[in-house]
Amino acid sequence: MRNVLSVFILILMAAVVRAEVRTVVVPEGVLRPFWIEPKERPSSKEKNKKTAEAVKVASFRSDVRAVSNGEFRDFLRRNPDWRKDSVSPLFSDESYLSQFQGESLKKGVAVDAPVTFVSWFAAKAYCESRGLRLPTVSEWEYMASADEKKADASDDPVFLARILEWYSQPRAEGGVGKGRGVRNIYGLEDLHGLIWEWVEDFNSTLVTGESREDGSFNRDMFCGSGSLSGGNKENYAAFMRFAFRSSLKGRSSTWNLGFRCVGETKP
Amino acid sequence: MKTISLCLFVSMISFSGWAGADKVLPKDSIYQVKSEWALQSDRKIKLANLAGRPMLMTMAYTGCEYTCPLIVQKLKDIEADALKKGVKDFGVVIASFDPKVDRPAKLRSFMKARQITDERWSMAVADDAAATRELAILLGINYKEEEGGHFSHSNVIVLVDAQGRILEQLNGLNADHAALVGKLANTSHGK
Repeated sequence: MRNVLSVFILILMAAVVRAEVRTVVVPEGVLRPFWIEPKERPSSKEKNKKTAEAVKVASFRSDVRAVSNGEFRDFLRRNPDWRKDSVSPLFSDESYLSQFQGESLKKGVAVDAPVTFVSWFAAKAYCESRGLRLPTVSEWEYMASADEKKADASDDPVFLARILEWYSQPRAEGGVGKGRGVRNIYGLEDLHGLIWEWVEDFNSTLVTGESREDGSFNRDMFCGSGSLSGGNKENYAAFMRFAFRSSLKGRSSTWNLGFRCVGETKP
Repeated sequence: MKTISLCLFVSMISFSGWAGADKVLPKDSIYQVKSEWALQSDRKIKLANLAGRPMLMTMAYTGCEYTCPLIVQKLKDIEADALKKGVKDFGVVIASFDPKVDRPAKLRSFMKARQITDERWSMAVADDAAATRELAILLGINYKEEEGGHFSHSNVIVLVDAQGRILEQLNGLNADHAALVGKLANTSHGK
């Protein structure tokens, strides 16, 4: 009887955990991306003014947290095709799911830490299994430009310094731990300071190939020349994210790269 | 008449291709992707329907004024060099970056304007941006939608074997394609 009761209580607890708010609605707004050149050149007088073209971002729903090891484990149990031993080499590299043994987590890997060592394909498949998708670059940068108090902290030196400080920290022993639960104004946790995150169109940041054909692309999107013409010159952290994304392939996986899912505003 | 032969051609590839043969395809075949594509003939296919002969694949969009004609020309050059070597059994597929605009009718008129009449060639468009993005990532093509219906993109031509395994990637339009033609000849004769 006692066993039955404790099982019942466990189920109840599980239900409560399930009912916990997992997603929030991110309201529509405007992103001022550094990588888009102002359409009309400001007059020489206003040259130093920020005049980045605004990108409209429609409202969407997002996971509060990045997808956890435990959640990804459940996904692997339902979708064994994505296990390390059965996944296609097109969709995975050597380090894919390094923290898993089959569908189980290796010893010492935290269930509630964000899942990392996942490829873009695996991240996409996970989100699709929930009827969701990966955020676009614009959506992700829009979420990530908010701090605890304002929607756009992308020119706040304190906010930017905090992000850069994290970027400069060496790899923590034992991989990524649980998030600190730092919530921004939308209620989204740990967009900075824990992991890097996949975006749906990560391969839109840099075109390889002939510079003659891709010239405008490189100039607008990447590195030196881009940083001179870009809109928000202070946002060096965002440059680093773009450089990082452009180094990825769809099958890449690294120790600090995870993801969260987004979808339409109706859950 | 042209439409009839197109339809015939499409049904030929889907039948000579391994209809519903996902299991038979090797793990590293790009045809493992499950997305649906519409050909210029309006026929819906999965990439697996392209299996059965080697394919030259690239991505472009019909609203493109500058590099896309050059991509078509590059593909025609490769085709001509392959034919010179006696290699005939292969296909050419141009997939669209632009699922909103490039519906089959648009693809048909693009092909007509570019004088692409050979049944070896087809164009394909996915239903949505996500499937388009997925194929681009598999083929190693970067792109971004710009304002005014344009796309910035890298120019990559990919050769896959009869089962959809990537054999060669040609980056940029000025790249020498001799090695690619060589591999096409090998895989074509080897099967």
